[in-house]
Amino acid sequence: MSSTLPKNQVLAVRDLSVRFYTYAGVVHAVSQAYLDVFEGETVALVGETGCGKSVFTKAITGLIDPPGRIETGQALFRKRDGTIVDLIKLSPEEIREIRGNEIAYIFQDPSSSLDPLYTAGDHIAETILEHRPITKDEAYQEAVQLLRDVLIPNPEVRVKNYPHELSGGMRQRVVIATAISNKPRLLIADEPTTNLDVTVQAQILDLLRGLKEKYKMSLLLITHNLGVVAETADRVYVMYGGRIAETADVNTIFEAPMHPYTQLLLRAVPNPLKRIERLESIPGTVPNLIDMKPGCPFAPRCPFAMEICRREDPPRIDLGNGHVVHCWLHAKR
Amino acid sequence: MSELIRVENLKKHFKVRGSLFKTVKAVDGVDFTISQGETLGLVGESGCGKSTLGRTVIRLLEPTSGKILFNGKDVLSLRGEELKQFRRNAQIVFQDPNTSLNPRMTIFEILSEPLFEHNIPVGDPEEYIVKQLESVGLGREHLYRYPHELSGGQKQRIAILRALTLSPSFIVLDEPTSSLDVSVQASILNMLKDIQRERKISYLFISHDIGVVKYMSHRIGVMYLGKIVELGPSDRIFENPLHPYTKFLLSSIPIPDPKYAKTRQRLAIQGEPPSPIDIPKGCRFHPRCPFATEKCRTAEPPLVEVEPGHYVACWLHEKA
Repeated sequence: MSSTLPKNQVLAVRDLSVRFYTYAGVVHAVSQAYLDVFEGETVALVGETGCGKSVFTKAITGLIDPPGRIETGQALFRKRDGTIVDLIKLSPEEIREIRGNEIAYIFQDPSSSLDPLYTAGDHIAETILEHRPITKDEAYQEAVQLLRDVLIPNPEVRVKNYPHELSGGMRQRVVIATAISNKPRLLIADEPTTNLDVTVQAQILDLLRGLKEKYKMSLLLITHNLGVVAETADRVYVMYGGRIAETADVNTIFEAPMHPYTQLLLRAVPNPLKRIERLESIPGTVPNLIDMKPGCPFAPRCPFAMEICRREDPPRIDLGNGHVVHCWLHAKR
Repeated sequence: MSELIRVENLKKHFKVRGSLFKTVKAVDGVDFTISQGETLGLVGESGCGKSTLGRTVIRLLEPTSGKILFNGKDVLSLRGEELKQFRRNAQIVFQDPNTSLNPRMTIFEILSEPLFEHNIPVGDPEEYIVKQLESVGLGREHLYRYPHELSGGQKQRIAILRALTLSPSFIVLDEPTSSLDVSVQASILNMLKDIQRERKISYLFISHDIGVVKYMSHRIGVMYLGKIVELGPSDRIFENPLHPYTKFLLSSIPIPDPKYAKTRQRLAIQGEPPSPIDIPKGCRFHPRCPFATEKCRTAEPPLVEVEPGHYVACWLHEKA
């Protein structure tokens, strides 16, 4: 595998596999997953509960703890100074230099990612002081500015607020302010709006879009909400059973999906602007990733499954223009 | 369609602990009707009182004031055997089956308890319940399992089945699919629709997912801070939203269509709903409303009919 990246590429993950060694058996959380992120783009990683999307991105940022283990893979990242590192090979100290600095991570639940005994300002200042040699006062001044950037009214007052004094939407804004405090090149947002109301969700998504432009970041958005994907993403990766099932630009994914899972998933979402007589449901449930057998993980639920789907892993089919599908249906015979 | 439920000026206020005068006005004067076999959808942000309303309608919570008529009978004056009869007829399905199903009861126990409690003769209860299970895609093998042995979607099917056991004529569905994945959600929603068609049950469908509410409901009520601010046929609410809050809510929904989503204009309203303890004077929405006038700050607009079956509480749509 090469260790160079095209000039405008921020992240290239290849062949990443993560397993968890539990008493119940080996959980194949992520298998041979890959992902590219280019400068200034928003990439969405879509999938249902337990498809491995969070584990995938946690592996990239060195956040997998035992019994989890990264088995194979490479995650090349272009740093601010232009050097390229393999995130998987870095030592815990080295990755800590990058995390919260060049790569920032926003977790789903702002009430559990904020420390109840720290004020909003403490969170932001701590992150800044960890990575930059400035004084505490300067860090707190920056915190106020950052809170203004994430559109929190009265930032001078709010900076002294504890998490319980803030609403859910405000807390998520504080988390975002903390994440962007060191102007990261890549912002990973793991279900950033899942616990929020639609109105607040729209505000947070607008905010992320604006900040992405302002700070020239790339955004990797993990979500199960296809509406959010349509609103924000440039390119999409669909994950199922720990594997990438399909990837393409956002219009292609919604208009000409090739993987049966993507097709069914899109028909299962009620679009409020359309008159839908009947939603299509996908029979069965998401697969158990313990002791996975070879074959396509979607085969048991797939209406088009063939003999070979249950026997062998699906091939990677390149349909051109960045549209890749992993499915036997599209294999040339 | 005949009217099954009529709610008039229903209020549910909660006392704030540690204060003599403060109350949370969770539901603050709501009127609506639901016909037989109809679904009324209820949307609104968290804290707008939609769940409290759902619980108050079936008298899980005693209302502070107001009137609830069920088949023409005053629900609030029911006592003893009559109340028990009402409990049979009005059921609820909660959001999270992990907390609404008793983890120490088997599926058989969960589903047979209502039968025994209400002395319903079904012959062999085991056979009866197996039949019920089969009607929702489960089977005999699930009879003696515990809730934790089932998937989220299966658990929610059990919760729905439990609500159906006593053949109710009305079910409150409080975010029944919010904890489920989309692929599972679709099958639960379809199942609920099929059940309604077969048994002519009325639903009060509460959800913050407006796409889901649109799919399920004949009519939709939009709630803001304890009041219904707009109520009308599903299609009309989407084609012709009248209340600024409804417009704002609809323009916030992420639409699963990238071409549409990236070109549309959002109605930008900042801020979050105020606390239901300090409800603004006049129209509740005026502090966030871009069209608010002097009148909106002082007088509360009534819910008026602006086109057949379409009601809105907004001074902008006051009849000249």
